[in-house]
Amino acid sequence: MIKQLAIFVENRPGSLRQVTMALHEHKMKIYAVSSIDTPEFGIMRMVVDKPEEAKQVLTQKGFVTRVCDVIAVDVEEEQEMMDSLLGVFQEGNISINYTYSSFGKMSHHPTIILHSDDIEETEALLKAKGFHCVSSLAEESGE
Amino acid sequence: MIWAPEETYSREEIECIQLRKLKQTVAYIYEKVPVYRRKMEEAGVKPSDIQKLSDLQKLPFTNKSDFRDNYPDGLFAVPRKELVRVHASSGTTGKPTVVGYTRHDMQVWTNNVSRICCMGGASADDIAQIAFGYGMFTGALGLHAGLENIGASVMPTSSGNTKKQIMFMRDMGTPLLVATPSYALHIGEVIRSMGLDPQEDLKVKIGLFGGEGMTEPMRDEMHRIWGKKFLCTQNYGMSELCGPGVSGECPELHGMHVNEDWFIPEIINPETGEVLPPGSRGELVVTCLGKEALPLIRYRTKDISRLMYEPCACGRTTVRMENISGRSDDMLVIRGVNVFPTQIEEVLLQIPEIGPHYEIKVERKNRLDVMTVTVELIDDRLLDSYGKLGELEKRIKKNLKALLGLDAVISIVAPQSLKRFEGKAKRVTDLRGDGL
Repeated sequence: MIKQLAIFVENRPGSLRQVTMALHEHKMKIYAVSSIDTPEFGIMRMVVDKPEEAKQVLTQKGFVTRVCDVIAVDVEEEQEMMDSLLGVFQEGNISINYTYSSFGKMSHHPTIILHSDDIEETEALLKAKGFHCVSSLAEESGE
Repeated sequence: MIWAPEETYSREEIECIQLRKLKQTVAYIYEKVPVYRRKMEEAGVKPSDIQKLSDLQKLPFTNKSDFRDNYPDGLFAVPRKELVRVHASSGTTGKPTVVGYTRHDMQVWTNNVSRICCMGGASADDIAQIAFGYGMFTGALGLHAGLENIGASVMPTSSGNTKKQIMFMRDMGTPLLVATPSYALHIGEVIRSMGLDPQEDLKVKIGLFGGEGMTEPMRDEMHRIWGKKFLCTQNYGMSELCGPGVSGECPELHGMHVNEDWFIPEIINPETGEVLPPGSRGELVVTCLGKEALPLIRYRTKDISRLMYEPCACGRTTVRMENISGRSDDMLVIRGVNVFPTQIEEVLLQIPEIGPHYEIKVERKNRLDVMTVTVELIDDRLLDSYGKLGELEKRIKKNLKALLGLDAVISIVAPQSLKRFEGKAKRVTDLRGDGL
């Protein structure tokens, strides 16, 4: 289980950049980012090295920011990993609310970020099925 | 056709009627309505002080807030048993403005609307399609009664469902349309988009428009869409005064003739309350004469107009009021519905997930008013999912609809992104300009 930031952003040019700039100013590291296309507003989701501090920084800058738990699964290179991961969810009849992946620069394979309604239960199930759920993305990013 | 002889009385005759009815009305409210009696006592004026028409100026104004303070029927002069009809319009906050009619009031109202309809070219031969929204709004049922009274065949299609409106128009050969001017333009454009030419393919020749003002560019557009021969007039009223039937345009299209034997118009300086000389532009104040259920003295309409006493080529001698050129308060007319920003504010303040700042933008898209309400998100819990943000948007929309009866577009923005004001906040942007 790791902490994720969710930031409210308006749908106009430059709004995502304002978030990353604020984090960059405070020397924070971004390991994963996701945003989807919506007509009016968006939720930018990201995994950073210091989520609570990042929330403080962003709130001060006027961003509505939330910290919440997500599952991070280290996915090795085998092609069928993603499929078998999703198979666990299907068998357990668990809905995935959203998923995105980290950059995984050094390890050359990504980490999948997942959110479901019951994070703890889902993570326990994944671990029981032999998946590698991580508690930090720092080492996956090669640090 | 001129419906009533009173419309052509000489100035002396009109003023004689007005003075007689004014004296009666003032004595009536002093006796029947404690709120008025108190206001008159505070102003140090008694019914016996009203001896000439200009004595009207001694009487205190009545404001929209008097309706709110005495909600729902504290201004009524008759017991509920005497009422045969109740209508309502929006109040400045929360509670609507409730108005009532006795049987006699209904007769007067109906006849006044009949005059307006005849002024606008309606006759007993016409099929009148009423595309105003029926309900608590006075417009639809007011025109309905007035047109029926002159013998026209009324089709209460109500507003909306444009395709069906057009079907009836074609199949019935409707010659007369009652609508807000913006809805009439919209209907016209839909007709054209169906590949029809209103002039060739339809029989609509008269438009009686109200519920919102029609600017001259809107009238030009109306002719462009509906044809050069389309006689489109507008009429004026507000539910507090009776609804439609206060004044209307004749085919000269140069101001709206006031039914002066039932209404005394004055023009005041909205800042000082001072009555302005004839011909000046200012806020229209109306005194209703002879109303039983809801007599109204010097009601501040907040509408900006001007009175024209010059004779009119149509033969009517009644004073004309210039088309409304604005408001002295912040009321908006959106799709014919009166909307006060304070009403919107009240809804928004009850929603804890958003901040107290907001902006209202009104535009015209496809001839229809579109209101966008922008609010600032403050509760981070909504960021758990798009569903929660969407739910917030829906809830704001639903609450606004429940109060105003209007659909609004909701725009959610980040905190601190709306403009802050040090003095009087300017939260409303009306981009409709000349109404097109």
